[in-house]
Amino acid sequence: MEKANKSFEDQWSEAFEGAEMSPPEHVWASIDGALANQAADKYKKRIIFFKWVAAASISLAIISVVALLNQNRDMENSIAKNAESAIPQTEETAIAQSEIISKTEKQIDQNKETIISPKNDSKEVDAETNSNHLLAKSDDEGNISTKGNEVLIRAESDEIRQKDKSFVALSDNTDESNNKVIQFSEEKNTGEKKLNTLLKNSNAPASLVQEEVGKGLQEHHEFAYIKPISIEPEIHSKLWEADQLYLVPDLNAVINSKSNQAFDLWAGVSFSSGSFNPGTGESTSGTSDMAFADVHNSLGNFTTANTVPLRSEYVTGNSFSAGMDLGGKLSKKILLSSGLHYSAVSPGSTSNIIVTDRNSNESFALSGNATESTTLDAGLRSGNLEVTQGVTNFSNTLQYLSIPLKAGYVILDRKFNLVLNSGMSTNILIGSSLYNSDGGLQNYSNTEKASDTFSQTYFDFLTSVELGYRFREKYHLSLEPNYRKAINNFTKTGSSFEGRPTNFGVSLGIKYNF
Amino acid sequence: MGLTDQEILKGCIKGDREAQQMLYAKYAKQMYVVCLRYAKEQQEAEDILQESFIKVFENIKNFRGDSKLVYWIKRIVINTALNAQRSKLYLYPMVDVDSLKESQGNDLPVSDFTMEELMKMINELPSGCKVIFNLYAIEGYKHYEIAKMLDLTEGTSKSQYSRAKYLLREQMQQAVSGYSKRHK
Repeated sequence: MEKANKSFEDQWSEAFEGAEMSPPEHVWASIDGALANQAADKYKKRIIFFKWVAAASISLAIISVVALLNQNRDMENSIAKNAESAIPQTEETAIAQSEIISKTEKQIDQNKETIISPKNDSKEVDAETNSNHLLAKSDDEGNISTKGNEVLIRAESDEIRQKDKSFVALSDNTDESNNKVIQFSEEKNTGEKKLNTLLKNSNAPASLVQEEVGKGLQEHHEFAYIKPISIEPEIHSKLWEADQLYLVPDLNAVINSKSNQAFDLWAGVSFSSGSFNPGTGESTSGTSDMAFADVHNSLGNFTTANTVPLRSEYVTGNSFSAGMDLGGKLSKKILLSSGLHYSAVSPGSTSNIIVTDRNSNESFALSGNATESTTLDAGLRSGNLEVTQGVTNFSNTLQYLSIPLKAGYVILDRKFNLVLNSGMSTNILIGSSLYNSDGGLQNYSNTEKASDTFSQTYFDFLTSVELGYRFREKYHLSLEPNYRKAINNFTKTGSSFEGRPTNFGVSLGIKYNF
Repeated sequence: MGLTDQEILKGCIKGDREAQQMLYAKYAKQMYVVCLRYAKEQQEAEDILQESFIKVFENIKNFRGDSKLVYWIKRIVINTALNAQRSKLYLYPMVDVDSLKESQGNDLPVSDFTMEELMKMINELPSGCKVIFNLYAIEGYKHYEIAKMLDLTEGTSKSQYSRAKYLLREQMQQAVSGYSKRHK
C-alpha cells in the first residue's frame, strides 16, 4: 500500500520543494535582540567570574597577612619571655653571679701562673716576632689593638659587651682580658689545650705559637658565639635557659620549636550534607519497558493504550554523612587520611504508570525496578488490572558505609590553614527504602531488595578544599567543601537505570592532634 | 557579490552579526514555510522560526559539514517545531485508528493546487495527523524514525498517516467540487 501511494507523497514533497515565503521583519529584530542579550549575559558571567577571582584573592591575601602577623606576634612573645628570664635581678641571680665571680677569681688564682708567665713570655716573643696576639691578651685595660686576630677578638669583645650583659658584669669585676683567657683555658676544645701548652712552654717557636694561638682564638670565638651555654653548664643551666641569645632569635631553636608543633597523627569526627545527583536521567527503554511488557503478557487483562511505555526517572536529592576520620602527616606538606562514614542519600524518582487492581481497588505505581514485573505477576495474577497514566513521585533512601582515602597538600600551615585534598572513596550499600511520597498509592518495589537494583559497592573520586583553624594547641576545626563523582555505576548492570552519581556538599569537622 | 556558505559560516562562528543576518536572509524564507506547515497559527510559526535561528547561531560551531548547511538548519527547525507541538500532542494522545476506508476514485494531482491552498489543507488536519504527515510525506522520514522521534509505536504512526491522507484527499475533492460549482 505504501509503495502504491508513493506518488502521492512525491507530489506533496515536490510541491513544497524549495517553497519560500518571507517572514515578517520583526522576526529578525527579535533574533537580533535575543543575540544581543546573550552576548550581554556572557559578558556579565565573565564579570562575575572575575569578581569571584578578585574576592578569592583578597580573602587569601587577608588570611596570609593574618597568619603572618600571628606568627610574628608569637615570635615577639617568645623573645620577650626569654629576655625576662635571662636578666632577672633576683636574689638567685645575685647568688649565681657571686658564684661565678668567686669561681672566676679562683680560676684566676689557679691559672695565674699559666696566664701571667706566658703573658710575659709572649711579650718577649712579641718583641722577637712582632706578633701582638699575646700582648693583646695581657692588656689590663682590655684594649685590643693588635693585628692578626684583631677583628676577631674585637668582634667578640663588642658582642659580649653589647649583648651579653652578664658577661660585661663579670668583666667589670675582674680583669676582662683575664676572663677571656680563663675561658680559653677552661674550654675543652683541643685548640685551647694546645694554646695552654704552648703558653706554658715559652720555648716553642714563635711562628708555631702564633699559628696555634690563632686556631685557639678562632675556635673559641665560634664556640662562644654559637653555644655559650656549654662553657659552664652547671652555671649556665640557670642563667642561659633560653633557646636563643638575648634579643637575638636563635633561628635554629625557633624552627625546631615550630616543627615540634606539627603533629604527626590526628583523629576526629565530621559530618557533611549536600546534594546528590544520581546522574541517571530518564531510564532508557529496555529493562524498564520490558518489565511493563512482561506484565502485559502475563496478565493481559487491562485497559489502556498499550503504546505508552513505562518512563521513570531519578531526580536530584539530598545527602548526609557522618563519621570518624584518622590521618597523619607523611611529610611537611603531604597528609594522608582515611575514615569510616555512614551516609544516606535520598534521590527522588518518578513514574508515569499506575496499575489498579479492580478486584481490591488498590492502585500501585510502577517504579521501573528490574524485578517489578515478577512481583506483579505473582501478586496480581488473578487480578483484573487497569493501567493508567499519571506522574507519581517516589522517595528513595540509600544507605552506605563509606571509606574515604585522601591525600592532602598543605598550602598554608598556620593557625589558619588550607589543605587541598584529593582521593577516592569506597561506598558499600547497607540498606535502602522506597516509598510513594504522593500518598494514596502503593508500590511494588517497597518490598524489593535494594541489592536487586543497586550495586553492592561503588567508588567515588573525591576532591575538597579544607579550611582549618587550630585552637588550644591540639584541636583543629575544619570546614571542607567537597565534590564527589562516581567512578562506576551505582546501579547494577542491566538495571533500568545506569548512573554515576555526583555529590556536592560541605563538611564540618573537629580533630584532635596527638 | 554574495558570500559563500563557508564565508558566512566562518563569520557566524566568530559571532559576527552581519554574517548572522546574511545567513538568516538566505535561509529564513525556506524555513518559514516549514514552520508554517507545523504551526497552527502564523504567530506560532514566527516564534518557532525565531527560536530555531537562535539555536542555529548558538550551535553553529558544532556544524561539522557532514551535510549541507540548509539540511542542518532544517533539522533544527523541525526539532524546534516538534518540541513546540509535543505538549499539544500530549494533550491529544494519539491512538491507533481503525483501518479507514480508502477514498475511491483517482487521486487528484497535487500540482493543481497552489501552495497556499495546500498549506491551508495541512493546517486543517488534527495536530497529530499533521505532524506525522509533514514528517512522512514532505520531510521523508520513515515510520520507525517518526515513532522514535515522537515516542510512539510504528503502528500508531502509520495509522495516523493513513488518516491524514484520507482527510487530505477529502479536502482536495471538496475543493475541486466547490471550485466547479462556483464556475458552473
